[in-house]
Amino acid sequence: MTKSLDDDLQLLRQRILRMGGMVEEATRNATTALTQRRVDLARRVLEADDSIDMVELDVDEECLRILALHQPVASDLRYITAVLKINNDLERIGDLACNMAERALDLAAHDPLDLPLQFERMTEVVRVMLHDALDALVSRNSELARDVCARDRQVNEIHRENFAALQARMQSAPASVERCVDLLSASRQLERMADQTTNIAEDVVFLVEGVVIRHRRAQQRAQAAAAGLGGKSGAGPAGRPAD
Amino acid sequence: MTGFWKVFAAIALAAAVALAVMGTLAFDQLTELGASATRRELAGHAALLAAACRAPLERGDSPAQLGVELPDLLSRAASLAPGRRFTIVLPDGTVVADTHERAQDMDNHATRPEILAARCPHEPVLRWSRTLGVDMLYDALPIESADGSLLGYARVAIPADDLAAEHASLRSALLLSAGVALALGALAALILARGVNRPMQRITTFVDGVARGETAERLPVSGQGELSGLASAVNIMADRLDERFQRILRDQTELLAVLSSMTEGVLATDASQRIVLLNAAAATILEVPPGQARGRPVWEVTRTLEIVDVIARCLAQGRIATGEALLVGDNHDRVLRLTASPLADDHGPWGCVLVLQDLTEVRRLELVRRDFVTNVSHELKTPLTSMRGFVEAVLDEPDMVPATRTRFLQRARENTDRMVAIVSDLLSLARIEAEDGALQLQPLDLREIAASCHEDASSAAALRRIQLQAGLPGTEVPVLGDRTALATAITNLLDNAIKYSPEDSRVRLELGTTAPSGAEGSPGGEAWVEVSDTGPGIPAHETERIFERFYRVDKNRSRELGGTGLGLSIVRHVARAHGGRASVQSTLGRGSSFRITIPLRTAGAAPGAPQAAGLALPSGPATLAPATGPRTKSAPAPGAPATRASPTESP
Repeated sequence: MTKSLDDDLQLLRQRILRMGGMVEEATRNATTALTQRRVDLARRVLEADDSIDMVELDVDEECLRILALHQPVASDLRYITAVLKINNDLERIGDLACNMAERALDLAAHDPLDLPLQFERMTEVVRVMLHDALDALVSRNSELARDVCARDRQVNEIHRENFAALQARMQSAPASVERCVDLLSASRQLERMADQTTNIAEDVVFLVEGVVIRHRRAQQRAQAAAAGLGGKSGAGPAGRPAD
Repeated sequence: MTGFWKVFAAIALAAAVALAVMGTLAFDQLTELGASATRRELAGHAALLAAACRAPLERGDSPAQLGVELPDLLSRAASLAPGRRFTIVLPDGTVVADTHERAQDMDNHATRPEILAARCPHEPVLRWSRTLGVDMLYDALPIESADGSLLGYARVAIPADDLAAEHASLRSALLLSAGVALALGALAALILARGVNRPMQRITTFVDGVARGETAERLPVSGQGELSGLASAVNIMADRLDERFQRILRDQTELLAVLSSMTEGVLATDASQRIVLLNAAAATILEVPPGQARGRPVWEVTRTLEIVDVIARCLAQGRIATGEALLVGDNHDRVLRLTASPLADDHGPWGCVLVLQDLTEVRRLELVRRDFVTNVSHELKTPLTSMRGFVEAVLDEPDMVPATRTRFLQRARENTDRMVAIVSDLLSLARIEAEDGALQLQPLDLREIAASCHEDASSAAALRRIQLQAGLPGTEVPVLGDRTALATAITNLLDNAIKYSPEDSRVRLELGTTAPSGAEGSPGGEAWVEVSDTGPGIPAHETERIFERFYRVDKNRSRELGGTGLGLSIVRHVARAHGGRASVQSTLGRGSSFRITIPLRTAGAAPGAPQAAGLALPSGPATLAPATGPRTKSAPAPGAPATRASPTESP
């Protein structure tokens, strides 16, 4: 109760990084379980899920406590709101890792499918994205965070290719549909992980620069509409707000 | 510099105050002296004048006579005392003579204060001269006859301006001398202050230097004063500091050298979990540059939960905490043993030191050993079980048809052969692995060995209608090796290739040399034997493991074909024992090619010289003759027919 805001924030930083570490490990284990058919790692992921959830609750509670107790302003407030969101994103990634671990268990029970899927590259990109997003959070490096956001596209691309390859296989070889569906959902989960990681990176940018870079296109449309309404007598297209 | 100015100001101020006091006193005394001299002089002049005037007045001369006589007297007196004014006044106040004014024009002087005071003891009177219009100092004395009757007054006056001028010149003289004295005093103060300040400044500069760590120089010590005492004390201090500093530096360098050369990661934190030290190994394990980690909380530097937790636990409990972390990598996992011990001094714990020990290799070896024991037991148990089965069947049924009995016993013997093969393989592995190598390294022609192995394998190949090709160079391939071991290795490779290739396919044995530096036989030149097949191939992730003992890609098939699971393991060990390596390249569905690479014998090397192990045990032929490999019947004589070998696995 008597602790200062700085102490509490320090504790919060420690907690959110703990959460990050756990989720990062779960992701690494789940993806390795998937690509190397490691049943032991998949089991570890499933075991760790409960503790990830506990830490999530912990971080949430800590955030609310600080908000209620210290009523922080400016950058501190920004930090806490960003941590709340990042916490949520991390928990979602943890859940996705669990799902992926289950898929990995299923897949490991069957013979491997001989398909040119790019899971190794995909998992590597996702892992590095998450790692860099958390590093950006630690070092408050918005440049790195923006870079993470940019990598989301690669993952989407690979997912599309995987999707096409698996669809073709399912049509041509109905016997392998079960495994294909597993692989498809694993690919989908990786793509979702990359999305959540992008959210984290965006929150880091918000935290460091105070700029919201989410929903860029929607923002631009809204601003363009506002400029169109207000600027009818004005400069026209030239009056469009610059980014 | 302030010190200097303080000393200077103190001395200069003291001098100035002394001068001021003395000057004031001197000025007072001197003016007083001057005043009394003036008084005496005035009185003296008046007395002289009175004496000189007494005679004419006594004679009772007429005023007209007096009017001539007295001015004459006065002018003579005035010439003796220039600047003085002399006046003769009659008792009734009539002025009869004056040096500065005509007597007739002057009014009655009876009421002038100096005339009134003349007959009693008095002081000179300073007053405004109505006659001359200036301030003058007057003194008058009565002129008395011998009988004491009053004849008149003699008055002497001196202009006050003269007195003031005298005062002024006295004051300026005093001030000048005071100024000179002050200047001299200041100069002395300057020199004195500098005399004190210079050494102080030198000592200060020196101590500053020592504080910065410049301990090479020493202060010059001269004289006996307090300052030289201070200087030598400072020198001694610098000596001690230097000594201690060097010792600490040495200790630290040693400690850092020890820490950085450790293969274990070492990381120390303070009580708030901030990293105060980490060595290169720890930085590698945590994947951070060492410079960036120092001063930051450990939970910020690594997100490996076990590491953070073990430190937190150690700090919270003040006890040694241990843990294990599994770092899942792309190629292989790493297992770290974490030991965090509290760092404490007299005031209690102030941090903890964490040792990160890589257990990966230990764990791997444990696993290999465990696998090995399991495998050996399994491999030996299988033939034993079937042997027992056949033998029991024969024992239980005394009336068995002889043909069946013979078949059963044959099967039992086949299994015995299998066991013998396994045990022999194990023994030959042990032989090659043995540190002080029972291997007899001698100059050999690898081409000749390869050719003999090729010939030996041809019958087995023919059985499976496999075309066994050979690509051997036309010249000798000189190596230093053990004939038996090398032949075993090549035969193993050929056996494998023949066993796993489909019928009607092709196996090729090739021998060649590479000489990276260009010249034949130069250091780095290597000989290689390659056996390629068109078999099923090996999955990429298993290519490393196939050289492990009892490792089989396709377990059932291998045993069916009579493999012991040790063949490739022996190949690898033979290659290593010759300072070379065994490798495989394989494409699933296309086939594999195995290659043994060993160094070429250098031209100048004496037989057996590079391999001390071979010379260390000149105990004749190998004591453990492998049953599977080609058995050397006798030492091959030059030109003798190629040694025959009998691979037991290919009947």
